[in-house]
Amino acid sequence: MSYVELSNIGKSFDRVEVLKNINLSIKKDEFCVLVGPSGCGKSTLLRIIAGLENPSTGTLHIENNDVTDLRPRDRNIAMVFQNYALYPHLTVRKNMEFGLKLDKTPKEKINFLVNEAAEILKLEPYLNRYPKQLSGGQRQRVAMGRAIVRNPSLFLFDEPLSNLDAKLRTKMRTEIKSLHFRLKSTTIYVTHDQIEAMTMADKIVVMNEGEIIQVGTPLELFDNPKNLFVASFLGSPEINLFQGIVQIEDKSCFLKLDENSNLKLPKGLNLRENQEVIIGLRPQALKISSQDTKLKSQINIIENTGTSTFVFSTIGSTDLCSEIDRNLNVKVGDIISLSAEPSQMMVFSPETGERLINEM
Amino acid sequence: MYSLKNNKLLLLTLCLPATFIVAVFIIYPIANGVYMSFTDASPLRPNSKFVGLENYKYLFKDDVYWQVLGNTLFIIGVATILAMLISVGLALLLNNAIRFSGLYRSLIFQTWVVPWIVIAILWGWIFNTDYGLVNGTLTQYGLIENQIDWLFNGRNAQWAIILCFAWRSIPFLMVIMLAALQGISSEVLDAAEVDGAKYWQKTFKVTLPLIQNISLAAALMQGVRMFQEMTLPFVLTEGGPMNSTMVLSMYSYNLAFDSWDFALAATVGSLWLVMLVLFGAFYLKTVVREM
Repeated sequence: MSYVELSNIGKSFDRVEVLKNINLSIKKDEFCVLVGPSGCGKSTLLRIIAGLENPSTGTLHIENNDVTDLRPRDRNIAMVFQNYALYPHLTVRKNMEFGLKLDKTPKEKINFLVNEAAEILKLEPYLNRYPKQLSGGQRQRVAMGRAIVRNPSLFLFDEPLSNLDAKLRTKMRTEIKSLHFRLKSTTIYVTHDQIEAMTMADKIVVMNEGEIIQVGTPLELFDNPKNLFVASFLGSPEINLFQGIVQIEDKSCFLKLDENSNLKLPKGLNLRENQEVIIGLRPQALKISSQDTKLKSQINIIENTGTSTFVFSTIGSTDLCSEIDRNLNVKVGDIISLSAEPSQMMVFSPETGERLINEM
Repeated sequence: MYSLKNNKLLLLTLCLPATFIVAVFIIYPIANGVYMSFTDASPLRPNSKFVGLENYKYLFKDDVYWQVLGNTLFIIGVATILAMLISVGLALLLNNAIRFSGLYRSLIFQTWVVPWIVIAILWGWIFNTDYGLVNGTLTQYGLIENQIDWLFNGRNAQWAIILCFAWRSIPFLMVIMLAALQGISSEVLDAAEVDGAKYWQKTFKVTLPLIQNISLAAALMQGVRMFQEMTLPFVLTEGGPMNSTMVLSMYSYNLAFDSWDFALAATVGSLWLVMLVLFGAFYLKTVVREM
């Protein structure tokens, strides 16, 4: 059995069903990220795991113990909150000691554990300060320190970085990840930021409208999304989606987008003539071609991030993004020919949004 | 860049109305009161003269003054503490999502809009020796055999006044504390729960410390408000029996409008002002914590 096991977890607030039949297994030492748009139920699920909410249906096991009806304090978990949730009337040291004192841990052990955590998190100079005297990043480290000292069987993080600025967020991301590596702790981390999910997770759980849509490693989900939602949610810039009708001429297969544009499809896709499909292509798989193709578009914007250059263009009503070589000499207004990497095409059904062919 | 700070004349003009109002309605009466305490002012005398510290010397030697001061501190101190304890309890109860909490909240707050005089009459009946609710109930349950003279026995009368003061203060304090409780971040309380705190530990180690500053400031305000209030003892006991419920406000009223000794009344008021200012400063400095 896995370390954390959620079976048929459901949650309703009055008549609103926010979680539907959630089944999830998390292995020991795994860093599992719950990701999804706002309101998808990921935070509610985390609160159920923490014991701060009771599930309407289903059971929750941690380390083979049924903890469904246990209170948070009996679950041996620690949680880091979005707004840090530090006790404003207590110093950093007292914040970190709080849980240990409630557990009646001996004074010497409390001192040892707090000093150790402070050393790991570089909080030693701030132990006697109050939370209001700290910066956002330091506060979040105190919140993590408060979690570490209790040596819990499970760490829960509820969007801990969303209040930090972009630079600090990247730094803290690395810190949390290295902390996980150092402590070898099982972690469940909630975020709506797909970059956080992709960079930190051993396992990503994509959620939408109270349901788990897909579970897998970051690359599995990125390369083989189960449906349009996962394909669009993961990856920045977003995946390009071409909707059109399949046409077969002289054994060649095309996706007709409009009168003038079509996308050449590889052989062996098993698509029927006149079948309507959506083809997904990551920006990295949509290149500017030196040859004349039937996929022409006009450049609207060129975005240079330093490490990569993205070209945004339009065909009809479809917005496209392709990653290009930064040395390529193109400018806004240019008409470019695009070509797709056949092995990276993903085919989806326009009706259901599901992936039609799972592996290319 | 244009800055208002550079236009001193305009600044002064803008401050003038507020300064005028404060000067006429606050500073002048206070200054006049303090000045009067150094004179022998009385409506029975056509002209008053400066007497230095005579009034203060007289008051400090007067046993009644010390008794009244003691009564005031005892009655208002105990009433404030009692009202605080009950208000915190009620606020904690109403802050939990109990049924009809909105209804209870409005019912409790009704007390706040009842005028002091009505409260005095109401409690006068409640403590009435022959027909009062208190004696009636106690007799009905066999807790007492003979009727108790609530308002005609020194200690009992003090406690009756304390109860009335506390009762009238509860709605104000409760509303302030309820607002303070609702201002506490739910994440902090969740964090305490995850940290292993039981309900009472959460209440005493997190909730109450977090509303401490607001509730202590509210208690100070309410205490000062009670210092000024004389309707209750005036109507219920007239300060008796034997001055046991005479408080500073009523004492200075009696000096001014019974004995027509404006100067002595002003001396009581001035001492009271100094005492409250010093107490307020000390209280805010020592009790209100850094957060």
